[in-house]
Amino acid sequence: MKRRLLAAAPLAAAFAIAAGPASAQKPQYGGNLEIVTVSSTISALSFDPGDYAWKTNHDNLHFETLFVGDLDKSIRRGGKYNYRPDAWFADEALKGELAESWEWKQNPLRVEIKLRKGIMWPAKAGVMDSREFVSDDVVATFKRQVSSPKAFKDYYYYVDRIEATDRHAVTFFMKEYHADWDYRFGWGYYSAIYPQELVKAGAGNWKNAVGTGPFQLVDYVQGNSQTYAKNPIYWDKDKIEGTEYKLPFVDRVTYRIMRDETTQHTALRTGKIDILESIGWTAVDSLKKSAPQLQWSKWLNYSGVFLSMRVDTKPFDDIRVRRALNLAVNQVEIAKEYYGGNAEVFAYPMHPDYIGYFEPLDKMPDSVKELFTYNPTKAKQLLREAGYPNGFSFKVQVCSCSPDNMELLPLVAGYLEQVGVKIEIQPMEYGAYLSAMTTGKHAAGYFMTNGHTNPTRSLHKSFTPGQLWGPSMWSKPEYTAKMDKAYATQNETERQAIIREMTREILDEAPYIWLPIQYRYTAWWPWVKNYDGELRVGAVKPGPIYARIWLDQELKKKMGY
Amino acid sequence: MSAVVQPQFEALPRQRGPVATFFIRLFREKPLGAIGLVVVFIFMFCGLFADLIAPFGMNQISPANRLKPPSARFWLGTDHLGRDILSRILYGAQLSVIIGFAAATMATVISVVVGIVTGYLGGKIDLVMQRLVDAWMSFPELIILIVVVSVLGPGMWQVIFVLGLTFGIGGSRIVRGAVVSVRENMYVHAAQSMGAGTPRVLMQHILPNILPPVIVLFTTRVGAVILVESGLSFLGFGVPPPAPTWGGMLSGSGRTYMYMAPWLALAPGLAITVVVYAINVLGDAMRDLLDPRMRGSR
Repeated sequence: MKRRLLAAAPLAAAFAIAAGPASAQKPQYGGNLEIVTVSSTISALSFDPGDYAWKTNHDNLHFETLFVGDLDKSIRRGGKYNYRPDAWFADEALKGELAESWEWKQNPLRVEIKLRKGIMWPAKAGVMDSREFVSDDVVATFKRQVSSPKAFKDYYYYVDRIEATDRHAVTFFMKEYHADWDYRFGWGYYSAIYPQELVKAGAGNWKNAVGTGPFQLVDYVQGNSQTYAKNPIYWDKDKIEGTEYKLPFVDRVTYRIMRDETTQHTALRTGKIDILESIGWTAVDSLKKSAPQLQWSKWLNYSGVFLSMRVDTKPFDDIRVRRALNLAVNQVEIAKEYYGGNAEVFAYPMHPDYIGYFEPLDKMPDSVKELFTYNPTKAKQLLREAGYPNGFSFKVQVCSCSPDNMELLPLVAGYLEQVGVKIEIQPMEYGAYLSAMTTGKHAAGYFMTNGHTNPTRSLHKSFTPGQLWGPSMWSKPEYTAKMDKAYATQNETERQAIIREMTREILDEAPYIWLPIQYRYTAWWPWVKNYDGELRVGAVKPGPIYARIWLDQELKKKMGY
Repeated sequence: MSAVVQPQFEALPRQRGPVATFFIRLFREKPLGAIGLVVVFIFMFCGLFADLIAPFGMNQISPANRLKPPSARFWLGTDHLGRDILSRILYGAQLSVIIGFAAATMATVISVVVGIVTGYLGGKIDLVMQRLVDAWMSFPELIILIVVVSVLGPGMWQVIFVLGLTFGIGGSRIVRGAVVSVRENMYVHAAQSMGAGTPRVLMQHILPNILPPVIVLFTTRVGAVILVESGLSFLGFGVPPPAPTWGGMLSGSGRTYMYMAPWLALAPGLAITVVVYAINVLGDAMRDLLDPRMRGSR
């Protein structure tokens, strides 16, 4: 350690230069990239996209989608996109991945997509021989996804049919326009394209994993690690300083699953991992002090934290109770004191990045603004009016996989106790916790972190019937009708207006105790190049980002690691 | 008239009861054990009267006072939610008292029942049950605990049940050993030859004579249970928040804020160390004083 510190000291000044523009250095191939990702505590939920597990893109670096975020438009390359939202892009931030180009046509309403030629599925023993990726792969994948017993209700209702019009062209015929058409089947959580040979061999078995993506899964130890090896026949290239480089640069990518934050920080500090994608504010100062060479990025979390109240159970069927509980929690104090100012009081269900869709709190109606004030007196009054003068108690389920939530929930419990409402906290292992909600068997209270996804889906997935991510069970036919209208609206300005109105309405209904959203940090060592803290170029999809990273092995050695 | 001479009797020294004798010997012969006893009394007092002596509620939050170092107002500082650590340590003692004594009692009952039955009856029952005990003891204790708590879900009663069962089965081996030794005594044979039934022999003759090791077993189990419960809470399998278990305090905020506010980890860590150490030295002293084979040793 001492040797490392001595080595690091004279190099410190040089790092500013070394960590400067990637253009100053020629990229190097090789090395193992060790990462603790944003999903640091949760192993892969499934390797089969047909299972509709939300982490599919995160864990299946071997799969690709029709569309992807265009990293050439990242801030690092002079663009204006940070590529950190969990599942949202402006239209112009998108490009084709397996698709080469696409075009909307009328009569009948359809999207014609031309696929890239020459992309190959690699050979996989016992699964398939190497062959070209063709339009039949897209059609078969889409049909399997639609017919999956785990598919979301009406998720693709707007698609009439899909046809392979050429060996490298497919057409989606639409029943009607849908604002999330590209997100849902093009670059969303469940949009991975996979070969039918994989389905036959068993798509859920990680040992069969094969795809056109930059890396292939070669080892999986549940709760410990996921290792991906470079796909030697990967098709994409990266242009750096006018020179094209075949991707990926690194030989291997390894995800380390670490439940304990202190262990994550130690692993980063000692150089055991190259990138730690999500760090809480409390650890930042000490990490900056003990490892001053680390590079940093800061981002407002793309997940909301809330205590959901089941509106189909007493006492939460009464809006006065729900509003009372919101008023009992001091949001401003949580943001200022608990998060040390590293949080925004109001950033969910719309993220401030969603320009045009997001409205700040001061633009909200008074009844919404009131929910973010601290008023225990009025909370008690509302509880009295609702027939609970002495308060009540209820059970809240929380995932033990989230240290943040395990710490935050007792704080909420403390606030609620002050108005006579007691909660019984039930920590659960992730599988049981998620299954409780997806089967509708969850408790009256459900403490949750949930991704914003994108402006429309954020409301759709939680407040319309039949959706997976609706722990409050809140829905109304008129609200669902507005949702349908928003999706069918092609004009984005008009759609933004509808979504703004719907956001106001759902906030006012208070199905959740809306809690502040904290800022998170990403840290990486200076030897990690061609990277600036980007997290996703699709729905929780990091593969193309990792494919572009190269490791400066000499610098790493010089720094004593 | 001859004077009547009243016989002069020398007053015999007043006989002390066995309990008083034990305490006197404890303080005279085992000062470390005596200190342990005092600490255990303080610990039990804190546990039983936490509601009265804690300056704040166990979950009385005050985010404006988060992570305050020890001061006149907050003797042991505050945690990340602004809760008074001293109060949480005191309430934690309450939980530790409940869990420690309940699980140790359950463990002792299981140990005594299994140990007496197998040790006294012997034969095939002893053979079969002891092989089952062997099988149970061959599994790593912590793994069993984690598996069972994962299935039952975390909670105080689950922890008591699991620890009681685990320690109870393991401890039966010690009780059985004592029973095997006692059952060969003359008074047991005499009772048997006079026609005393098995329950009577067990309750009247065996049990009273194995009480010293059982008491020691119980005492050491209290310390072990507190320690293991802390370990379980540290791993996230203990009593759920906001209950202030010492292990939970150590693992949750204690670890997260270890660098910013070391008192968060120090206070529960010290509490666990002191109480478990005190119980262990008390148990050692009791063993020395109650076991006839150890008499004369200091």
